[in-house]
Amino acid sequence: MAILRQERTASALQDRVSQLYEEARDDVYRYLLTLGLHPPKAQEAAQEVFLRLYATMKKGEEIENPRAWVFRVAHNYGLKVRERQTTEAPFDPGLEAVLVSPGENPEKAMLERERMLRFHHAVEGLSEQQKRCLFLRMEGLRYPEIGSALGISASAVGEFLRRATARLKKAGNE
Amino acid sequence: MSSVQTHPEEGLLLRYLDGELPGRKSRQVRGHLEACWQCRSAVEELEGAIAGCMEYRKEVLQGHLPPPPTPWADLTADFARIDSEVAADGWGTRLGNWLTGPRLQRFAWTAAAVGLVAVGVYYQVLHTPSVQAATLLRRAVAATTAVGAKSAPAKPVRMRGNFTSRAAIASKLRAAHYPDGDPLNPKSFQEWRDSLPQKQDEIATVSNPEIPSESWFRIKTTPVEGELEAASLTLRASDYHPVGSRFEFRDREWVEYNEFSETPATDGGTPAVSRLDAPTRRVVPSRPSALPSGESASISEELRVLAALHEIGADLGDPLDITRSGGKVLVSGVGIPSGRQRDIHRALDPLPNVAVQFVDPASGAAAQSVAETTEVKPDSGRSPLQSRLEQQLGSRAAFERFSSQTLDELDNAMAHAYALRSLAQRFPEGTVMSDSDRTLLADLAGTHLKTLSSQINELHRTLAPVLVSLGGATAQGRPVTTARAWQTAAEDTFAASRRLEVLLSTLVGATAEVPNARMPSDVLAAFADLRGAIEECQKRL
Repeated sequence: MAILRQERTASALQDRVSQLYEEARDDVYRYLLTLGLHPPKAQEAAQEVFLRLYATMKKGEEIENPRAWVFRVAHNYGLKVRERQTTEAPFDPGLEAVLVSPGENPEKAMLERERMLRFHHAVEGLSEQQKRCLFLRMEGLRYPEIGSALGISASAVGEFLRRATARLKKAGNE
Repeated sequence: MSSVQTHPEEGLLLRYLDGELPGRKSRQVRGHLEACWQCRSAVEELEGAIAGCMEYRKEVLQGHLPPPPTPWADLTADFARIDSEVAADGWGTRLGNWLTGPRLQRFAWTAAAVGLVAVGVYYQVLHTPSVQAATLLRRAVAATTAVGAKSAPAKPVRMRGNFTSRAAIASKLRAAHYPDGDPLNPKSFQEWRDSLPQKQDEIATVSNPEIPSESWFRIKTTPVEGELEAASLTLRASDYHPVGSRFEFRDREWVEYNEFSETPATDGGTPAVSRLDAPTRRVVPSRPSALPSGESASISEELRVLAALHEIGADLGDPLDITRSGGKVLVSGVGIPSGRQRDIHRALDPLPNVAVQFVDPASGAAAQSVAETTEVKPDSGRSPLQSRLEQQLGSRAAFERFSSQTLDELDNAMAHAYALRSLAQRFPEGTVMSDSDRTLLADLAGTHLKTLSSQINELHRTLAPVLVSLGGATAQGRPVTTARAWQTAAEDTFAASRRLEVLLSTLVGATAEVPNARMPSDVLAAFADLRGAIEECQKRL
């Protein structure tokens, strides 16, 4: 188990956080979009989260899984930013139009697009908690880590994921 | 090696695929899958859904969501600023850097609202989330001592709640191992919090409703087990003086204590007022048009609300109160996250005669949830029985994993025991209802009972070999008093669940009690009693 400990030199810690920033910032940004943040706010919030990670580690706090930490803080911070927004951004602007438009490889691609569209509708139909659990699981978080982000127990995460996958399975089989 | 005898439920298969099952359980499921084509194909379907998710992430989320509007910033300069802030001594310097930094604007509303000390602490609250509860409490304890030294006069405290007597509350707090004495004393809160083996903290900054420019910190601690479901302590940000506390018990009773200014003097200025008033929090109706119209809501409507909440799992621990009031079924909740509020609205809005009200306990709050799991118990406090268990499991780490998995599964099962009892109390024997309502109620209760039964059986299968190896004698359940109605049997089931919960928590070191040599036999007997009670309840349904 890789445990990140307090780095002894500033540059080593900066390198560590910078590397994670490069690897995960787009994922965090997209997660914040799915939460309903507008793109500029989502980008700004994503950057802020990595600065908080750096500040926290700089103060000597041990963070067992920085990626999970980043998503947990992004979730909480994103909710606060969203509360201050006057409107909630749909997380799929124009997505449907893109998905239904015929591409270069008409037949096979169309079947594939239809399948993805069904999937997308199924995801949209999930409850907010199911969606949060699903998106965080897609980002590689374990049940206790998701539970910690959402303020629910790991077993509740399991239950939300079960319900989510049951609906997605149905969408895949249609 | 034993294997799972019945087909594992889909949730169990998903947890198996996700590596979230304890080792033994995981081996059992794997053993079952090797033998069972039906479950193997169920697993393949689940894997298909998982693959679909990842394809969706790649094709749709990564492929079609709008890209970041500007190039990603280089954070090096911000790192350097943070370095200098952390290195700077004292709150004054740190505060100065903060106030002149580029991010002032974003938090200007906060900086304007609180004084210098409060800003310093607020900064720390936002930036180092995991240590705040303990730090704030330490400061509050120190501040209380200082105030005491100056013999500051105590302000009157108002007590409110939905309980039947003050004696009952005192006894419940004692059962929860909350220290006797002043309910606003930070030291008591600190001692109680420190004694919890597993807990989750939440810290919020809120405004004093009477003086909006004054900020408060609210520390809310939610233990994994015990009589108390949650407790919170509110501190004035400027000097950490405690201004309020609130205790919520698992049986949904609650009590809160708040300091108040004596000017209104509605009760003659008597200190330590003990009136039992309705909650004073401002309840904001989320659907004003759905307020009571005069007629009485029916039991049938209340039952349908419960069924709808059950569909989204909101009857398993969400802090909701459901009452029939005026012409409506009133569903109210305090501190429910906004996403969850939407879920609940989505489930209930289509139903007739339902009013949903959410109370925001922290208007303008900046809340940050932090999960904190502490060591189960220090080595010095481990009983001979726990040491043997640790030896059998191979290491202290293995013991702690075992402990945490047991508590997790127990917690899950208890949620159903509470939900079952709640149904029994809400619709007691003799409630007049239609046949279809009766069937719906029986279905709801039956679902909780079935899940409770299956989870207790799983827990028993995992624990029984361990308990026997520790000298536990297998037991027959005590004869169950034949209940007249399922509601009585549900109460018996709940009582048996609680007994098992207390014993198991003690066994795995999650309570201050020290398990004695009879503990393994007692736990096995409690399992047998609970299974008997469940069986009896199932017969009555």
